[in-house]
Amino acid sequence: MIELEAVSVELGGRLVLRELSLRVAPGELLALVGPNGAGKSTALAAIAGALSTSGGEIRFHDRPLRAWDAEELARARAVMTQSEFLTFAFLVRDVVAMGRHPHPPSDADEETVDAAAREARVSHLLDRRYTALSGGERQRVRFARVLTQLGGVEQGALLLDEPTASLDPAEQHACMAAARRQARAGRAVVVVLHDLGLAARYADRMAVLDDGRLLGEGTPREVVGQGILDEAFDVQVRLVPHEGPHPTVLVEPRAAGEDSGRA
Amino acid sequence: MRARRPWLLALGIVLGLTLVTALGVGPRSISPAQLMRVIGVELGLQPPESVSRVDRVVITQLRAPRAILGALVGAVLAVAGASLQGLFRNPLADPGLIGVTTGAAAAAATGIVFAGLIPFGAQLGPYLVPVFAFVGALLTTLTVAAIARQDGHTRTATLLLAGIALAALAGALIGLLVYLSDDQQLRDLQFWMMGSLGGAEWRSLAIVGPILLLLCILLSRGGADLNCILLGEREAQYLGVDVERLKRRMIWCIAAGVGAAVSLAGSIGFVGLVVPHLLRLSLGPDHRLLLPASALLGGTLLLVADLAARTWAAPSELPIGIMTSLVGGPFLLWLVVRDRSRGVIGD
Repeated sequence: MIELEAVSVELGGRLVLRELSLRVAPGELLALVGPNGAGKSTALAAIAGALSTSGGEIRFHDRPLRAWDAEELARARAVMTQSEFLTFAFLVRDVVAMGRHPHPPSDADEETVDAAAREARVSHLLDRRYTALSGGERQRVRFARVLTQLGGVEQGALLLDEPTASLDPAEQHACMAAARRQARAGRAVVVVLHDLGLAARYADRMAVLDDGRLLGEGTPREVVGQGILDEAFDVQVRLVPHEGPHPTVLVEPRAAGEDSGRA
Repeated sequence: MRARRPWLLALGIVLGLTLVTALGVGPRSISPAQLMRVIGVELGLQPPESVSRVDRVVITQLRAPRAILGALVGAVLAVAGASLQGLFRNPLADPGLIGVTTGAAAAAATGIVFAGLIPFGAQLGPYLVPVFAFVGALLTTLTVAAIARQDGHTRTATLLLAGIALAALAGALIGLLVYLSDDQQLRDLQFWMMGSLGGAEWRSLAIVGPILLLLCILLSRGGADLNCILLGEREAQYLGVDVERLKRRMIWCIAAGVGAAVSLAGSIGFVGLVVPHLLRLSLGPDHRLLLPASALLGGTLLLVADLAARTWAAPSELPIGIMTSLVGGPFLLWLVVRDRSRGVIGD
């Protein structure tokens, strides 16, 4: 369980998160959406314990986040960031296995690595050099690494910052489906997303941020129905009626004027 | 996950063989059989009259301390280089880069030129210059680390820039001291700037040796944490690594190790750069293996360089720093040229 109570974060003298309150229950996938600079990544970093807050409190498993020791926290929550630093030519298998760092070594580690690699669809890359992979492949390897970190963890938290950013459409769906399976296995999953279609299809709930504030939250149908996304992004978001179980959305520019098509 | 033990065992055996070779080779050649007898006598297994007195003195008083010092200095320099490269996520980092080596050499040079003016200088006697070198290394590191520290966080890029600036300053100081020195001081300075294992003797080794060994072991054990740092500092934090503590601990271990090495052997370049590279080419970048392997190979290579330095122009002796730079410079060039097409060093 992740709980944020009126959390504010100041970065470089600017308030980038203003009194954000959120709850993510085990078994739930929450999508954090909002325009560029809305504070999504900051919110995720705060939940991950990487930022000091200037107000409010974050609790993880009913304990204040700052009461957690770094290693203990690393055994219960994994974070996939957008950054990419690795320039040494590690084998992909070794990169994925680094997810086991906070855990005591075990005979099951190899199996955990293999299972995470299957889930992130990188099994075929395990014996290649990380530095020789494409951007999308590296991103999937990083996803496998965070899954490895939560391997064998009962009720962990999985925090993903734009995990689908450089993936092709099939891989985007595979990644989100895997994130959803993680939630169904009892984890609290928070995903920062730009693709509203993916968010609406895979999230149990969506939280919409704008200018560091929570504009609204609810199920995808509620968020779309109440026009919260329209307000945040200055676009028109509509639900497309269809037979399937998941909501599908259509995103159009607000002014259906001169650039909307050739007519 | 791949086997690390066989590699370390093999490198350990090579280091052991090189040590024995270093004891046997020199202006006075001593055969392996004679060498074994001398070791037997020293361990009390054989009567003293079974070996020549000269052989015994040459081995125990000249070559043994020199070989042990060489192995330890090479090991510390190499593992310090490998650690710094990991910490900076830059394969071209070297203890010289954060100013430690030059700072130590500048302090040693100050000790040589102003020995007469320094209070307690006479009491320290032959230890004056080594103590100065060690303190110089620590002071340089303290300054660089203080400049790089902001809001409880050590900024790696600033650390590097401050190190380069201080190294330039220390280099200028050395130049000034060379200008001020008399002939005898100039010879001492030269020894310090080019490095030599020639000053090795048991008394100083008894103090510095254990320090070097301890720092080698401490640095060799940080591999798993360093691997995580390579993913990015925040990523390492998310994996449970206390990045700030690790950085501080490593920088001080490196400063103390390099300071201790320079204090007895002068400034010896390229070992910290070349050894980890050589190993990365064959063993890959996993620091759990790279760090201890660097220590073992660093010790071996410095012993080989010393063997070459004292046999090439025998009976006179070349400064060992010249040997390492003579081999290290072209090797680095070769790496750079080769890397243009292969990308082993990185992007």
